[in-house]
Amino acid sequence: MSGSSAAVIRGKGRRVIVVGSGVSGLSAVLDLVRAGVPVLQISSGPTRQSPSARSQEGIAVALDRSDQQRSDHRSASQAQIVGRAAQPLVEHLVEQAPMLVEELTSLGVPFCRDPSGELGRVTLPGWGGLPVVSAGATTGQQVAAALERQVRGFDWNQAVAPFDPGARPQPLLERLEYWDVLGLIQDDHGVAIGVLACDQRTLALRAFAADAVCLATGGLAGLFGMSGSPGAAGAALGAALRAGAVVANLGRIGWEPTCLDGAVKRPLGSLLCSLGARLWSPRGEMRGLAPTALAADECELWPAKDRANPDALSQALRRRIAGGSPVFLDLSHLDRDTLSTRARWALELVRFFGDADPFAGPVRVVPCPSGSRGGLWVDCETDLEGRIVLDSPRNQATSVSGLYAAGGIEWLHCQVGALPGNRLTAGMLAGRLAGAGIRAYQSRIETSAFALPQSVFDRALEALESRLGRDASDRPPREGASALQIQERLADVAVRVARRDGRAEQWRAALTAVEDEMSGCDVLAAERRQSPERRAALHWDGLRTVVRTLVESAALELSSGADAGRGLREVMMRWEAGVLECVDAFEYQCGGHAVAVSSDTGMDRPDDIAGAAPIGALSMPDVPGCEGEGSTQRRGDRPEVIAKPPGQRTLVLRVLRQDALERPTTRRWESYEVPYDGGSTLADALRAIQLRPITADGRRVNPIAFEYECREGSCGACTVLTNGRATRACTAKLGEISPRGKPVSVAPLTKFPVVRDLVVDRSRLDTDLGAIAVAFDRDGLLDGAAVLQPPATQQVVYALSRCIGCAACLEACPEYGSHTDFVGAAVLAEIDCRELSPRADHGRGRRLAVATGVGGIDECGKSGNCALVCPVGVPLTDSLGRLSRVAARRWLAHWAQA
Amino acid sequence: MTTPPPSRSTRLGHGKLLELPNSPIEAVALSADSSETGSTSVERRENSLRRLFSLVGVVPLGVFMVVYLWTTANAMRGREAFESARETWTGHPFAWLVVLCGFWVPFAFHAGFGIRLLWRSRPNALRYPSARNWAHALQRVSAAVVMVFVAAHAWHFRGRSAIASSEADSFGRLCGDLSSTQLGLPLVAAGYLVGLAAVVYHLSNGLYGFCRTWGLVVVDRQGQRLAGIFGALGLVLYVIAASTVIYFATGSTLVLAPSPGRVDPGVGACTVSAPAAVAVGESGDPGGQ
Repeated sequence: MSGSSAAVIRGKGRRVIVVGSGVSGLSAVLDLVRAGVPVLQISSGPTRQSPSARSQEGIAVALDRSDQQRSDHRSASQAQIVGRAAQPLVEHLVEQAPMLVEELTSLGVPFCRDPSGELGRVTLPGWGGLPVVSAGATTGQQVAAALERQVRGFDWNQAVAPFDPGARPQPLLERLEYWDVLGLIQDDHGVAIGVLACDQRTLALRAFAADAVCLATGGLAGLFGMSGSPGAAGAALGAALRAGAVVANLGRIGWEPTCLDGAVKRPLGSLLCSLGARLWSPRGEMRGLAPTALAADECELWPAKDRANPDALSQALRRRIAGGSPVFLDLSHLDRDTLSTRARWALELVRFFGDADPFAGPVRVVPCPSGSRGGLWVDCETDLEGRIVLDSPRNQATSVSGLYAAGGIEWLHCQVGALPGNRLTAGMLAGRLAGAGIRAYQSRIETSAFALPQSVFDRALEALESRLGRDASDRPPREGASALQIQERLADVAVRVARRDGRAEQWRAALTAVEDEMSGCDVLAAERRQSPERRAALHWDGLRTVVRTLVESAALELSSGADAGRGLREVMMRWEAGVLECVDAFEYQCGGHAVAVSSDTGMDRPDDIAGAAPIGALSMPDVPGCEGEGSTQRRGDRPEVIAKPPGQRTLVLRVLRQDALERPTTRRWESYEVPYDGGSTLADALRAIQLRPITADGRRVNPIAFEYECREGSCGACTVLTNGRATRACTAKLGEISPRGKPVSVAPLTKFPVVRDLVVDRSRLDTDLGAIAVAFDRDGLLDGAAVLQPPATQQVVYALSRCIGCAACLEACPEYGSHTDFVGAAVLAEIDCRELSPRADHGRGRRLAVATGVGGIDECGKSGNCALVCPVGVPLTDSLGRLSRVAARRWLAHWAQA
Repeated sequence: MTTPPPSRSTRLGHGKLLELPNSPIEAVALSADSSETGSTSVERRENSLRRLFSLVGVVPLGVFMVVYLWTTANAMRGREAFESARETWTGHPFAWLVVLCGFWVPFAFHAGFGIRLLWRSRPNALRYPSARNWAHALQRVSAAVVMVFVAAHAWHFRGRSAIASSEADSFGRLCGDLSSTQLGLPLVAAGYLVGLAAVVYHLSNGLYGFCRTWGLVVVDRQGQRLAGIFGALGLVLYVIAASTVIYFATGSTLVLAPSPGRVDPGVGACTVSAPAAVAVGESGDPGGQ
C-alpha cells in the first residue's frame, strides 16, 4: 500500500473521504473529483433523503450583479443572525451566488423562466426586495438532484484517479450509501486518517483510510424530530467531538417559526411568510371563537420586518403562546395562483397534515426547534481586506488536523444557511471551500494515511468493536428500555434543552438517568444482532456525546445571558480526555502550521459551566393545550402516548416480516394493534410499533426494520405495500386506508430484494439512474452562453424532476421485475427530462442507448399504472410517449441508412 | 517507470461493455460526443423484433382480420353473397400464397414473440384496477384466447378440408357447426362469440398500443381519446362479427337486414345443411327452429 514519497507530496492518487450526500457533501465531492482527487463518499442514505433536498425556499441572489442588488443581498444577510466570524462567508456568498445559479442552470436545474426564456425572478416582501429564483415549489430537490447527477456520472464512468507510479490505480469516486460513520481514526498526533463506518444493511464494521475526512452530514434536525431518526443525526458529529474537535455555539438553537401543530411537528418553511402570509394572534382571549370571527383590531400582526430573523420571531411567538394566545398563519388575502405555483408544497402540507384549506381561514402554527445555530467550529482564512483566501487549507478545517466539515454540521453554515434563500448556495459554497481546503491540505501533508501500516486501522477497528461489544459480553439480559426508546429519550432531553424547559441541573440529571439505562441494556446480545435495535445502539455513543455537549453549551448560553438578548458571544467547547471543557482560545495544526484561534468575545465569560445560572427570561413552561396534546411529550409516538386510552379506536396492522436478506424462509405475518385517530399516518403507527414491539397476542418481538426520513412525503424512503398497493407510509392516513377499521396489511415492495422486514434494496434503480448520468466538465459550464428555456418546457422539466425515487411506479408496473431488463418509468422519465433540459447533447448517445435498447422503452406494456400511482404526479406516460417517438424515429433512421 | 494504464470497462445498460479513457476529462469528452455508443447488434435485433412484432399485429394481421370478418359477414346476405365475397379473395390462383404470407407467417411470428412477452408480464389489474391496466391485462388474456381460437378455427376448416381434399362447403359447415348444441348448449357458437371478442379486443387495444409504440400519440390525453376511438371501432367490428355468428347459429340477422328478394335464404341454407351438423357429432336443432 505504501507509495513513494513523491506521490505523497503530489497529493494526488490519495483518497479522501467525504461523509454525507446533501448539497454540501456533493459539492465537496465534485470539487475534489474534478481536480482529480479520488474520493470515497459515505452517506447514511441517498441524496433524495437529505434535508437539503427538501429545501423549498428558492435561492436569493443578486443576479444583476449590480452594486445595489449586491448590497441588498449583503445587508439582507448581515442584518440577521450572522456572527462576526461568518461575515467573510456572507461576502463570498454574495459574490459567488450568481455564478452558482448560472452553473446550476447549466446542470439542468429547471428554474422558473419568464416568457423570454430568461431566469424568472420574483422579489419577496420578506427578503428585502432581493430577487429570488426557484424551480417551483421545491428548489432543493432539483439542486440536489443536479449535483448528484454529476457525481453519479463520475461514479458510473469509473474514471480512474491520476495514479502514482507503483501504486494501484484506484477509482476516482466510490460511493457507499446506507453506511453510518461511527468514529474517526486518528494517528498518534491526533491527525484524522480515516473513519470507522458501519453498513446499515449488514451492520458490519469497517475501517477506511483517507488523507483527510470531510464531514457534511447536516445539522441536528433529526434530534429535534424534524426528520429521520435521531441517531443518524448525531453519529458523525459525536464522532468528531470525541476526536477532540472544537464545537461552537451548539446550544444556540435554531427555530422554525411556523410548524403545523400535531404529534409530529411539520415545518412549513419560510416561504409562505416571505410571500406575504400574515402571522397574527388575538390580543385578548379567543372566547371560544373561530379564528375568522375575530375583528382585525382584536388581532396582533407581526410586521414583515420583524420576521427576518426566524429565531427572534419564534421567541416572540412562543411568548404569545405561553401567554395563552394561539398564533395563526393567514393566507386568505394572498393570490391563490402565485401561492399555488411557488409554495405548493407548503400548501399541500397544510391541506394534508393540518386538515385545513389554507385559503379558507387561518391555520394554527407553533414554533419548533429545528436544529442548532452552531456546530463544529471551522476556520475561514481571510486576507487583510476580509476576503476569503480561496486556496487556504484552513478553510472549513476543524480544530482536528485533517478533519474538515461543511454544511449544516458546522457553525458557519448554520449561521449563513439559516438566512432565508441562502441555504442551498451557502451549502454549495461550504462544500467547495472544503474541497479546495482539503486539496491544499493534502498537498502539504508530510505523511499520507496510506503510508501507515494497516495495523493502525485494524487496531482502531478492534477498539471500536470491543467498546461496542462491551455491553454484550457477560451481562445478563435485562428487560428494560429498548435501544430505540433510549435513543428517543436522549432526543427528548435535547428537545427540553432546546425549549429551555427546566434548569440546567434538570437536563443533566435527565441525561444521566438515560445514560444509566444505557449501561444496563442488552441490545448487542447475539439474537438481536441484526435488528434496528443494534443500529440504534451503535449510535448511542455519538448521540450521547452530542446531547451532553448540547446541554452544557446551552447552560453556558443561558448563564452568559445570550438567551436574554445580551449580545452574542461565541461559546466554544471541546472534549479532552473524556471531559468537556470550555475553550476561549486554542491552537490547531493545519498544513504544518499552528494556527491560534480565540473566541474573541469582548464579553465576560461566565465563571464555571457547572455553576450555570437559572434559566433566563425566555424560559417558558409549555402551556398545556397551546402547543397541542403532544407538547410536553414531544413525539406523539412515545410509548407512553401509545398506551391505549379508553375509548380510542384501534386498528390491526398485519406486517410481513423477514429476518434478513436471502432468508425468505423467515417470512411471516405478524399482527399489531395500534391506536389511531384521524391524523395518524401509517409511518406514525410503524414507528410506535418500533418503539413498543409487542404483537397483538402479547409477544415481545424484535422491532420492525422500517425506513423513513422526511415524514412529509418528500423523500420516498418509506414506500411500502399497504393492502397490496405501493404507498408512502408517511402520507397514508390509517383512517383513510381502512375507513371501517379492518386490518391493514403492510408488506415490503415486491420488485426488490428485501433487506429486512419492510426495508428493501432499491439499488437497481440507482444503478440504472447512474447509467444515464453524465458528468460535465466544469469549465464548460460557465462559458458565458446564456441558457434559455421556454417557460412551457421548464414546467414540463420541473414536473419530471419532481421524482422522489420512491419506486412506486416500478412496483406497480406489470413489466418491471427481477426477471426482465426493463429499467422502468422512473429512469425513462429521467432520460426524457434530460432530453428536454439545456445541454441535452451531453451524453445523449448513452441515454438514448438505454432508452431505446434492451430494457428500454420498447418493454413498456402501456398499462399506465406508473402515472396513476406516482405520489408526486410526475407525468410519466407523457414521457414514455415522447421516448417511444424517439425510439421509433431512431429505428426508422437506422433502417433507412442500412 | 510508468505503469501502463489498465484497460477498463464499464457497464452499459445491462452487461454490455464499453472501453473508457483514463482521465475524467476524457471521460467527459467521451460522454459528450459519443452520440452512437451502445446499440450493439444484439440490441438492434431485439429492437427490430419488438418493432416488427408491433407492426405485423396491425399490418397485415389486423388488416387480414378485418377483411376476413367482413367477408364472412356477407353471409348474412345469403349463401350466394357469401360465396361470391369469398370467391373474390380465394378465387385467385395465388390465394394460398397471400394467406400464407399475409396471415400465417406473420401470425406465427406475432404469436411466438407474443408468448415470450406473455411469459415476462405480471399483470396486476386486481391490485391496481384502472381502465388502462385492465386493458393491459386483458390484452394478454385475449392473446392466449386468440391463439387457441385461431388454431381451432383453422383446424376446423382448413385442416379438415385439406385432409378431406374436397371443395369445402364453408357456408354449410359454419351453419352446421355454429347451430349445433352440446349437452343442450350452443357451445360452439358461444366459443365463437368469446373467441371473436378476444380477436376484436386484441386488435383494437393493439391498435392503441401500436400508436403509442410508434410514437404516433405522445400526450396522455390524446391517447385516451384514441383508445376511445379504437374501442368504438372494435365494438362495431364485434357487433358485425357476433351477428354473423348468431346468424349462422340461429338464422336471424341483427345488423344487416337481408336484401329484398332474398328473404331469409340463410335459414333454408342452414336447414339444408343439417346433416353437416349431425356430422359434427351432436345433433341439434339448426336454425333455432
